[in-house]
Amino acid sequence: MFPAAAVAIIAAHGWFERDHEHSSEYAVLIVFAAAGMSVMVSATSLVSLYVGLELQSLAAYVLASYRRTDERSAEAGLKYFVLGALASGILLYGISLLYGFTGTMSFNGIAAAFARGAPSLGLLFGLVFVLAGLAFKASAVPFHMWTPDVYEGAPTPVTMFFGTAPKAAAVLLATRLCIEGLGPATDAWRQIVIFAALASIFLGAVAAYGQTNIKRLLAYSSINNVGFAMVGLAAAGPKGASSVLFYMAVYIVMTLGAFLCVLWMRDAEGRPVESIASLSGLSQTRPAFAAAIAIFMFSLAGIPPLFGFWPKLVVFTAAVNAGYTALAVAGILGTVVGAYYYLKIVKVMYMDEPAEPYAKPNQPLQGLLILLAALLVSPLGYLLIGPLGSLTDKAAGSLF
Amino acid sequence: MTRFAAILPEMILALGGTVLMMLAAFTGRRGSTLISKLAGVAALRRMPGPNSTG
Repeated sequence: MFPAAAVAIIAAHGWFERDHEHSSEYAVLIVFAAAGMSVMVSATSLVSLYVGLELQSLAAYVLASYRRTDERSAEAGLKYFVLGALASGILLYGISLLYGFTGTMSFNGIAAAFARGAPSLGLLFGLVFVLAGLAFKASAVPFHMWTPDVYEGAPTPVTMFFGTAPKAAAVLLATRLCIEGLGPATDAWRQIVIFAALASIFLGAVAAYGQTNIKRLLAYSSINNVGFAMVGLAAAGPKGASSVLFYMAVYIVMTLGAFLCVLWMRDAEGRPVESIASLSGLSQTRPAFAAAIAIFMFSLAGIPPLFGFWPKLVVFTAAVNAGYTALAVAGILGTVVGAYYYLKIVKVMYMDEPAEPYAKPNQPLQGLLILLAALLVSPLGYLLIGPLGSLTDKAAGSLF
Repeated sequence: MTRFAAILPEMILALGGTVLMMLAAFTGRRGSTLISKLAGVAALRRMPGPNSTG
């Protein structure tokens, strides 16, 4: 999460500088959002959960409308704020119900209350409302409706940030709450998580088909990927939690790489370009750039031997080991359906006639970051399975 | 002291953000490069702490 925040700051500097609209608030807002995410993922009570979530969200609302003179950016900020406020209200209502029926805000206390026997209707309502609020922040279906519009309207470096760090923070917070606070009620929340996982995987895959804007397409890709992470969460247990962490770690690198490539897309006059059609024939005009985008697309699609395949295998294995083979099979089907729109981009770059060439970028640091991300998601990434796996196992083990 | 150590990473980020915000207010657009670099360092320097915020 924190390297993603740092990359969002570094990459944005060159991007905004080009349009002479860079000011210091951007970096400061990212730092505040990072502080909020830090509180979120280490929360052990509903109060710190809410404070962290709001600290992160308030900075994010401002970031979405960072380009004050751009109508789309202002619209994105407003939409995000209004829908985010609604989600916060739902979350708060859920928190108040959980507190009212358990008399405690701490995750351990709530877990003890759930362990006392069959949970009351009020507790179950509280659980559903809290999960609904978190699903909004993670943009899981059916609370995903804000994602494509906000991702498209917000400045690209902000979209890159939204697509990585806050999303990972929301998924990790949901994992922590479900395992630590709602552990004894696993059977109750698992149904909700399975529904959200399958709905996110299939809606994310199907809705991305008709997109012509690459940021909207990556928004649906992020919805789709949250679904895969939730398959790991549905597995529960130490292996399930570890698979979620593993998935999100690799997802962040793949998505950062894809968005760094989008940041490089500028027409001959230096204006940002976002249409998929503008990638036409890129392999002939900029072969290295096209290869980098292809690596990220293949990896996001989960096609071996790229590293994006491995986290999908990890979450599906966790689901099978927990006895949810049908869920894993449905997830694999979703991967096949979703592969189509990633491959469509590769087809446009490699098989279509060249469009107007992009301007030559003058951002060596950003180029280096793209190269690094491409290496990490290439088959070389398999070298990280051991160290990353032991880190995620250790982190997941602390929840039990 | 242990309790304080648990929230140290969040404290560093929050205080770092506040200092950077004040710096940004005083330097305006001129300081954007410096503040971006410092903010990047602050985000990367976030040390992993004990897993509790309380």
